[in-house]
Amino acid sequence: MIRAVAIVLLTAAAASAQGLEGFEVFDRPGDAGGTVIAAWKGVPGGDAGVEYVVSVAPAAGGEWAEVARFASTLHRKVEAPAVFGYAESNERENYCPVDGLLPAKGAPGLAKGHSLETRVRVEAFRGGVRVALSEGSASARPNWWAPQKANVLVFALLFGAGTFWLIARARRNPDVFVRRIPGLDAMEEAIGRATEMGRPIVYLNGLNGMDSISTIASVSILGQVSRRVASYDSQVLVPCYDPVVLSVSQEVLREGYTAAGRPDKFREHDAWFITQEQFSYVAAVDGLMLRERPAACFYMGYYYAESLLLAETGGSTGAIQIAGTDSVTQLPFFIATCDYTLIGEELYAASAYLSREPLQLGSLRSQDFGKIVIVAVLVLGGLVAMTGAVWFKHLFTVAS
Amino acid sequence: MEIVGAWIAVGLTLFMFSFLYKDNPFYKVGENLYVGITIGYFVIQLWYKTWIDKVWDVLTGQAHDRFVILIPVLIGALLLTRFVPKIAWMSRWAFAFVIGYGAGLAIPATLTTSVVIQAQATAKPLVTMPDRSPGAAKATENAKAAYDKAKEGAAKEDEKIRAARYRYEQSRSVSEYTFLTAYRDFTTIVIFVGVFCVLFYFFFSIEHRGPVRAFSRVGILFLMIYFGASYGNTVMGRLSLLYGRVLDLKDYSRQMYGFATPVILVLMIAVLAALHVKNKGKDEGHAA
Amino acid sequence: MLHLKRTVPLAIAFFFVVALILQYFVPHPLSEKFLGMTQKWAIIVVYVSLLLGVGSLFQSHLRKIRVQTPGWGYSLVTLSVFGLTVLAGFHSRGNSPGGPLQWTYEFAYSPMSATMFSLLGFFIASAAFRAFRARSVEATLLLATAVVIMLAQVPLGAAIPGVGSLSAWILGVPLTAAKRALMFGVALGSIATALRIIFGIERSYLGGTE
Repeated sequence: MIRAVAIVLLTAAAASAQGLEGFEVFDRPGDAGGTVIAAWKGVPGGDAGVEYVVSVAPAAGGEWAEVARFASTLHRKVEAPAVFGYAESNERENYCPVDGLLPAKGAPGLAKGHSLETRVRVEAFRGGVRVALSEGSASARPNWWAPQKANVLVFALLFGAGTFWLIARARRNPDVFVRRIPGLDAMEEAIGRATEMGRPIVYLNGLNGMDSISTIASVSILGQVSRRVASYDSQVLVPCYDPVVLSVSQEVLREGYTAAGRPDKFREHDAWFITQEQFSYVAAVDGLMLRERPAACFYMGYYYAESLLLAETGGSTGAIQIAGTDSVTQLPFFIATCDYTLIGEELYAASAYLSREPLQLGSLRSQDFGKIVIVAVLVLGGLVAMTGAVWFKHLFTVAS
Repeated sequence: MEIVGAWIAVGLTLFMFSFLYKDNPFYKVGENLYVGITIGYFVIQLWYKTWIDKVWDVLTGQAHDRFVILIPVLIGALLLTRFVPKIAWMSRWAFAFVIGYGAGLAIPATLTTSVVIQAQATAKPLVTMPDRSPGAAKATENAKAAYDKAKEGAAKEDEKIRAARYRYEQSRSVSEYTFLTAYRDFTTIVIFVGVFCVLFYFFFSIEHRGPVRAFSRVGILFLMIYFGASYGNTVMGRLSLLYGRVLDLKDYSRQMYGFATPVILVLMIAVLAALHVKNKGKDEGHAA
Repeated sequence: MLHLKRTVPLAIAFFFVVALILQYFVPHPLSEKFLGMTQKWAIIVVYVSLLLGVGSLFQSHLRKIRVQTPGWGYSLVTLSVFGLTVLAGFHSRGNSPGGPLQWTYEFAYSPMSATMFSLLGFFIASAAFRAFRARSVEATLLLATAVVIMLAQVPLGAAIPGVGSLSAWILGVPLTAAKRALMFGVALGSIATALRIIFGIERSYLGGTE
């Protein structure tokens, strides 16, 4: 942890005013710069009824300017755990963040986040009489590391390493067991049914763009669906909401048909763009469903309020409907209207499940590994909390 | 102009509502109009809000790094290679950028909000140990005194007594193991069991048989309660939207709008009836 | 050539995923500048991609008109309305108040949008009926919970003893549990998918391998 403690100039300016206890001025750690912090432990004689006045001045010389004035009950260190941690004493100690001073207009500028060496003076008044005074200086500068996010990094590295290990293991031993997921088995049936009925399948990728992970999962499933559609000699229609998703869908379809050995059957216009406005897209897709009367409708990816308009219309045409989304607000409507619904995480498991590719299945295992870690954390957290200790909770706090 | 607008608004509203009857020419016109308008609108937004504001103004400005803005334009232009089959593969570079951007932003944000913070919120004592410190006992004592005082002094002010009693019970549940403490522990345990079972439902590496199946069943039930609550929360909002739309139609029925709603409605019904008679026997009736 | 078609896109995706993850842990202004720049780029790329959408729209509607598929006349409606809206937009120089684009927005776009949205009022009831007919334990539990929560929101229902507290308990306890676990699962799933991109296992977005 980079924590630059500046030179503390403890000056007992007047005989009547002592210094503040443990006074220090330093650059705020883990930030983009611009801020210095004055912190102190208390005032000789206790801080009851004390008012603090904070002033700043350029270290190179200049007038003091008051920047804050507050009662000792405010600006406690406990409000800034990212800087001061979780010591119990933080509830009694004070701090004050101050903007580092910038060069005057016309003077040579500083790089972003840097400030001039800034003097900070804190005076303590009790009943209008100054009882303590301290001053110090520091310059603000930007930091390259946010220590308060260390716990997130640890989890990311742990999960990343776990996934890497499980994928490597699957490479050595490709026989990876995955439980049955009925919704995904039903996809196969639905495609077969479409072939028998001579009707198409409507496949939607959701309303998010290609930058959304659920859309990535969805086009990945489309890849698997298209292979089966090609080998069953059926047809899949993919009306798209986003032009980038359209292009990726076309690529994925082409690959699916090629992988199934039927590149001649691929029609690029089976995936097309409708519009990027929620309800006009729905109006067009609903119209399409009523006219084409598809044998099956697959709704994968992320959805908003339109989910029910789509699924109810699809349901009214008698199509087998399978949805898969991590949009928690729309899951209830898919569950009420669809024959099968892949709930949340199952959407992300679908592509691996359908592809049966060992490496994909290996990464699916990492999701289970993550769940085991989470359950362990919860059990441990519950037990530690019973002892009254709070350190465990703090391990999982992303302090601000 | 206002009256023309009202007639168009009513007409299009009824065209879209006619979807509830079945797919029909009015709906098809409405649907295609709607799509055409939205795409046209987006193109105008693209021209003024993106090209002019975000690209052209930057390029013609003074910033020394102004030409950097051409990079995303080029990336975007790579997408247009889709129209030239020979070089369509170049569009993949643009896909890769968009996908990389999305995944890169998602990982740390998801980890923070959905894993680390959620784990912290769940890590509560499963069984609360009474706080035997003198501070807690003192707080309970004070709360009891305040409650007793409220009972004596403000006999008629129910609200005050209730508040004082609430504070007392809360205080007591910290310093002693009371019914309230037990209820709180029960709640924590239910949440814990719920989280555990739902996570079990999502477990992919083991077959859901025997005791595992029991856990995952409980998990599904928790999920259904959640989805039901979410469903129930939405109903009133959706109904009020419909109510709002019907009110608008009622508003346009007035003389000042030339009785737009009833006139268009009657005309539409007449046309649909005529079409129905004409197509009788052919139609399968795709009521939505 | 294979490098250009496959390795370069994989490298681009890898670079941006890793750079943006690292960016999250680096508060330095340079890191913020990188994030801001990438976000701006993404917005521009997404907007430019709309041209691709318009091209696809034209392709599909012109094909319908050329082949004269049933209902091809409606494609004419879409294309001509699109053209008119664009003309109105240029005439209004974007969307100036009182201009033809704003008029179109107010009297055509808004009513249609609001009407499609309001259809949910009908569908929320028909979907409930569909779930009711399913007669499974899950569907019954879902509907029963929905009824309790809904009742608690209307004065008549809230007057029934116990409805208010049951609704509050559902929202506070089982809902919290299910939501939290669902969020854990979704987070793990999406992170695993993102990791598949980093490790180059998820490459479906590259389509063909040739």
